Amino acid sequence: MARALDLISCILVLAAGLAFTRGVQALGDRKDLVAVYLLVVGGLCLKAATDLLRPKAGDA
Amino acid sequence: MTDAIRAQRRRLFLSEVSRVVPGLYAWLATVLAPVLPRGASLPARVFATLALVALVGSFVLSPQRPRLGRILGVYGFVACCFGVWACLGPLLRPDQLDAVRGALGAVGFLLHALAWGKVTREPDVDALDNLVPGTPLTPRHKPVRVASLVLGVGIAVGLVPVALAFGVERQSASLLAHSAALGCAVSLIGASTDVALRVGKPHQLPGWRSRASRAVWPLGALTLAVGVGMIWLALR
Repeated sequence: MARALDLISCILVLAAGLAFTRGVQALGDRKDLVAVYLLVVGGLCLKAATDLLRPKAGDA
Repeated sequence: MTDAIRAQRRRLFLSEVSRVVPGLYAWLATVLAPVLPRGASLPARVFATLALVALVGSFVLSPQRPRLGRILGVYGFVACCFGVWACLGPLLRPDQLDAVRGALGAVGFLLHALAWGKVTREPDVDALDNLVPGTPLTPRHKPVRVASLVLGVGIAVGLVPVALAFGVERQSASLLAHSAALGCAVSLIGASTDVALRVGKPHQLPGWRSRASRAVWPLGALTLAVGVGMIWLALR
């Protein structure tokens, strides 16, 4: 299960990269709301990816 | 060859790479970008190529001939860049330039100067066997090979938004695009470093439940955001 979580965190980092890339592209296409949405989604993906790897305080 | 020597050589290689990367970025932003459009003269293109050759040459020659590498990387590269700008003529008018790209290129040249300010250290093989007196310190765990792959992919993916930001032509959004892309790249590379350091690490405590419970809030927010996006798409 721990390996599955590692894999999920890697996938989330890739998803964040994709969301950031599409967000910057949306800025160029004058779709500002879509860009903000995608940048937020990318940030959440990164947060989830790193939190999956960090133990709770006191557990480690 | 001991692990210490290998690690030291790897560090030296990475320091050589990190010395060249800012110059390469500055070259892309302030030399290649104005030379690529039609109208750039042949001497400008030749100087641009020579600048790149000087930079690559400094990277290749620095380990064996540090003095020549330094001459190429500092004087040769900068002189060729000056040559390009001197030959560009009207293409360097303010209305022909992208201010953001120029500013980022200037930062690239600043980092290039700082990178070359450090004196190259020759690897002293005799001293490498044991840099710290006493018993050799053993790492807690060896990084697995997949960690390098994760980090490499993270860096590559992080650079994509930075490259795409140059395609944003709208002036009002150009600066925002560059700053957002830079922030995205830093976050992505930082997160991929985090993942790379922990992937493959022997998992003892805490268990997967604890890890998953910690990520409940960001995963929940992510699910909510994706759900809202799907509803938005469906209603459009």
